Amino acid sequence: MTRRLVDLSQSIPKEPTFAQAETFGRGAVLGWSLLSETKLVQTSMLAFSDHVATHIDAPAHFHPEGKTIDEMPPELFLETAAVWLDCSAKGPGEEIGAEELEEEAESSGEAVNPGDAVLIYTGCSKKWGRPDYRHGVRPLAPAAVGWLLERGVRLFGVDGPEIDTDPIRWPAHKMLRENEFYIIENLALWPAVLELPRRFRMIAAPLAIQGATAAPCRVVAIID
Amino acid sequence: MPEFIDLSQPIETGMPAWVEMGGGFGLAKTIVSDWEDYETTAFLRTHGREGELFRTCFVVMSDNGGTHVDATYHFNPLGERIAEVDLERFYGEAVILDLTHLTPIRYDPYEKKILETDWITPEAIEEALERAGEELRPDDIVLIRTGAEKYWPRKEYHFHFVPFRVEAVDWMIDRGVKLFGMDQITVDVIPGYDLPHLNMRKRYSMHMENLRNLSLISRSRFRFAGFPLKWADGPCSPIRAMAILD
Repeated sequence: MTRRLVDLSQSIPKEPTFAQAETFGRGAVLGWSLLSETKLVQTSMLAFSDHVATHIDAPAHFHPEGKTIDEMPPELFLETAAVWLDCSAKGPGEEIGAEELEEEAESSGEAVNPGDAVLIYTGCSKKWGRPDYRHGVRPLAPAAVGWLLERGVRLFGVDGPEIDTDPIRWPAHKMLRENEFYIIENLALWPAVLELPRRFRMIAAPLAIQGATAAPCRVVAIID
Repeated sequence: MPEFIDLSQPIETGMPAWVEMGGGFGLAKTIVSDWEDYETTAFLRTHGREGELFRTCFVVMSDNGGTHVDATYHFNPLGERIAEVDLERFYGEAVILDLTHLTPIRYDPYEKKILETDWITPEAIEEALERAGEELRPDDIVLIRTGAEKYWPRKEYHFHFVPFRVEAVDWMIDRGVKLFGMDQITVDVIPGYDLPHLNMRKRYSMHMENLRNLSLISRSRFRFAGFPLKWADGPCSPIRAMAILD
């Protein structure tokens, strides 16, 4: 079979996404707008939060001295070995614990190896573009993040806007203060999971925004 | 492990964008908000719990700022938007060609006249291929090194480039090249967009501008990855361009 590429990224809407603007305070996510439309040339100004649509969080998001997104090591995002785990059986708001990841890894028949990127499918991406999208989050328990880190995972992602549902304590995000890892949020895993093999290679290169706490990126699965 | 080379310009405040891109509106400037902005408001934003602080940034930039790719909609109203382009165009086998011996354009912006320039022609590309001991294969990505990147991010960068002859673009497309890129700010002559850009209407050509670190690629053939972001309706996108050397 020849190599195929599968897009795992959400598109960046033209209109402001207010749900996110609320979450990120002044980070009004304006999407983008066409400012110069002439007969000859189309170009646009982009105004965006570094957390817009499909993006990768760097440790600096929660750790003042943490690595910024431009310092993310390329081996984590270029042709990286990746697996996806199905955590869509339970509903929004229910925490994903270490046991659930363990069981899912076992039943999928794919062990999580050191250096793997792990994508967690919660079913939230089915709601992308709808007002209830941000209520579709299944938070990751700090123990689940710990389970991933113990297995040598330094990049993992979810198909919802968040890995936390506690907007005061941010328990999973705060592990960025003790550990160097990277989180992909807003993955477009639905309907890609219907055809995505459990193991594939992935390119998820974030824009090289200097000193940023995250950067939007195009996440692409390479299926050999 | 393969060797990875970052071919993208850092996106930071003050990063150059093509003078005319949004410049008519005075908005070509790139702004990346920083941590200091955030600290000053930390107390208010966290209701006094500054230990809970997290930060995000806000970015304003031209879609032609930094290392970016132009989809055909940039010049062709019937062309593809950046989000519609097949992902295969941005990933695969790539060839690098050294054209650093060519003299960049000298242009008089008041008289709108080219004073002196070399051109990137089919012959120049053919010779560069020969020097590299390479030939073009269908679905290759071609990166052209003119050496202009050494002026980044100074003002001179805007005016140090070697324009392409449209025949050179056609020559590459005829050989199945799916994407090409360069380490300079434009494929074309200022200020009137000339044939290489307008070729997006005729031949649906696509190119990347403002690549860097091309001198660090130690072999003529390697793998390239540089996917654009999925801006709804947008014509162009900044990219993270990377070379992968096995």
